[in-house]
Amino acid sequence: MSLLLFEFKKLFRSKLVLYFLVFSLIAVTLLFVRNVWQQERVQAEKIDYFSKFARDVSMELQGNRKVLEDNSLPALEEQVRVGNLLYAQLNEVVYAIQSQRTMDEVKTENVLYQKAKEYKALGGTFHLSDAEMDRATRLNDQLIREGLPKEDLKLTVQPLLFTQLVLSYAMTGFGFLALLLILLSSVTGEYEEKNIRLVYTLPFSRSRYMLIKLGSFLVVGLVWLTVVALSAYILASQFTEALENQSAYPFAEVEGNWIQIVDVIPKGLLLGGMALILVLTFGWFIGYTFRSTLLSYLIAILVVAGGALLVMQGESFPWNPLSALQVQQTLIDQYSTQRRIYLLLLVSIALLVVGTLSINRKRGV
Amino acid sequence: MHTFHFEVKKTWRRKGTWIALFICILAISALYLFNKEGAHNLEETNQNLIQNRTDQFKQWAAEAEVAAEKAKQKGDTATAEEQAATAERFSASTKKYEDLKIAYDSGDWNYVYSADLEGLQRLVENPMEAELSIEEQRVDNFTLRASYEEKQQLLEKALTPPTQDVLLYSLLPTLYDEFTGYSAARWEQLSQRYGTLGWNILYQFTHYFLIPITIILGTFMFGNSVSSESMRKKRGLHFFHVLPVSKGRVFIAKYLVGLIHTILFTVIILMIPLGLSLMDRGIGSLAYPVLVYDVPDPSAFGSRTPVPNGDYDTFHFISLSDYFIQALWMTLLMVFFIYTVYFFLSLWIRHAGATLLVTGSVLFIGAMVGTSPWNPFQYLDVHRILTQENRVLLVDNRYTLQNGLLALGLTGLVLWLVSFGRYRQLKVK
Repeated sequence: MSLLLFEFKKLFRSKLVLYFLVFSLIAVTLLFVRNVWQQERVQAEKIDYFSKFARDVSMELQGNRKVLEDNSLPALEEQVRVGNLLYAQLNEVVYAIQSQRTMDEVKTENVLYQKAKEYKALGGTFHLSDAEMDRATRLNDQLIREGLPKEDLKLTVQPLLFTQLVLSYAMTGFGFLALLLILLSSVTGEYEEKNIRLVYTLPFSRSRYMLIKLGSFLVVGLVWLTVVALSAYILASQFTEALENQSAYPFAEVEGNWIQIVDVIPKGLLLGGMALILVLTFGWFIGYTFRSTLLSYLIAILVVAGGALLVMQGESFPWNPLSALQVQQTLIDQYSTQRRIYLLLLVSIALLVVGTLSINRKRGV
Repeated sequence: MHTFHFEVKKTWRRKGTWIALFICILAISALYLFNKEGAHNLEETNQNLIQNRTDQFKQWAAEAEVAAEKAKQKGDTATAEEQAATAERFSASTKKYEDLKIAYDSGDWNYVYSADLEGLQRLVENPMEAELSIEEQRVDNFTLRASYEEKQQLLEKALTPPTQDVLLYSLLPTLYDEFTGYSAARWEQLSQRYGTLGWNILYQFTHYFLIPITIILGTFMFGNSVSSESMRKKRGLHFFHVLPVSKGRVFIAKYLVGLIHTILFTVIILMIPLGLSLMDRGIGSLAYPVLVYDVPDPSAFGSRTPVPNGDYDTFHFISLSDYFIQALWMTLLMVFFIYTVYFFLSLWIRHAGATLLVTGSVLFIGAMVGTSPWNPFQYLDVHRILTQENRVLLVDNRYTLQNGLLALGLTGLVLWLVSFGRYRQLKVK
């Protein structure tokens, strides 16, 4: 225990960990301020989205009305009749958004999609596929059931949704890498500054010291994750009027079922925590293997950031543990096969620990 | 000069530097191989897709022939003739796809381009009557016009295209595309391009921020020459203090050695894909056309907010050689700027990891906040500057290469002067 405390003392006395925590808090606050500022933009974008459809439908209706002035075409007349209704619905949605009648907005949007399908069936043009409209309708139905308004998940200020947003930024290869860059030099620095010679003269085994170092990494990592998640939730709770039923917000649809935000956050934290342990163990491994700050950092950057980039580009390999570093993407994409991911992470962590201890067991300084 | 030589020698004698360089070369080679694998997979997918279409049309033609035969036996001449015509149409399509497959397999791009141009011409010349949609969302007229023009240039210059989904005219993605939902995902897939020849691969990597990323890695490797010698247990600067050389000379030597090495490192890393391509499918042509957006005239909008309009906005193409010459200037000034930012921060932070983190954050935040043509961080996305994307999106004619070079250079110079001031006051811990 005293050794672990000693390691903490060393980490915190360098002040870097503290600065990093403060830096994370500032980043969370800035993100919240940005989202608060952007609330009007959310409304403007929604209006812009539906106005484009309204413009297209209106232009088509104008053309068709001109055709009908000279000809009597019953099919086209029916199309124009439904088109008029559709246009009215589009204006109704825009009006509901403008007047911030959130539940009306969701309900009218569903009616709008029904009309749009009817219009398309009659030969009209509506630039949204049926699959897209069905997906939006399913989400709206779920929101109506739970009595919730539609949120922009990237610009939300609702406490639980904002917490999930912050976690989705923090629990990525880049977020983990930032923490690793702060902690890694506490291993390599000991070799470069030759402190390790003194450490090896102390009356405890080398493996024990290395494991305690890893333990200190993991505790700092978990503290960071907790600070980030709590600060996001507290900040949003203090400055936003939370929706009554926010925990039931449908976050993502997996195999026809909606996952609620209240399920996503704990599962994400669990997976993110495991992924964080993997990254820190990997950092610990390369730190003790290469014993050079420059090389360890380079390898950490190339492997962790490179792995994250590959996953973001869609190059995901089923047996690549680094694919779990994009936590939110992994959670949603592989919701039903999470056990395999946990197993993969556990095996990788165990291999890294055993590998590091074996490599350094009798290695000189 | 002696101090400069001494610093160079120190850098070269560090084993870590060489291993780091080797690791970076391995990383860029791996990136090249991933790209090659991606291109290969897409080529196979294209071949299979063309084959599937061929089989599909063959089957439909056979079914129509059978239906025509049956109708003939029943004495239904009208149906028989109709089915025979359908069978003929399907047979013609089968032949078309068979020829396309042969052309695609053998790299006969003239045939592939001609087939694409035929379809695109109809769309471009009759925008009111014909349209192309991805999951029922329209492809913008600008994209169609740009793709048509690009194909014509590729055909004229007999160039090899990058690998792309072949069944939808291999469209050129532009900033005018505004797909949402499934359509956006499908469009991304359809417009994803993989370079197969050296210059094209380098051009493609430029889109993915390879230049700034390489520079950041370079500055991390070579930008700690002062900070690493002013630590509590590494007091290399003390040594210089007892030598008969001025502080200014030591600073300039250390700064320049790091800067030159960062430039060399960046050049080496960027040249690796070209080198590897020589052993693969070749280096390609520098005549490849690169789309450059023409900026709409803000005065034409009067008091209204200027917005890009895909139906009217114009464009032109420049050759890849012109693109790379401009990119080279940008890269040089960007190395100077990023290196100076890192060097400046390292004098305060003195922890390589934290300096790297703060530098990355400063560059990211700087690029996110403030859309001013004098903000040097706005010029980190080289591709967007050279293709004038920023100028069009922000309808601001001041986002030019010259202003970018000026902003990067002047800010770098100011930071360099501040760094010098800081160095003179630096106390070794």
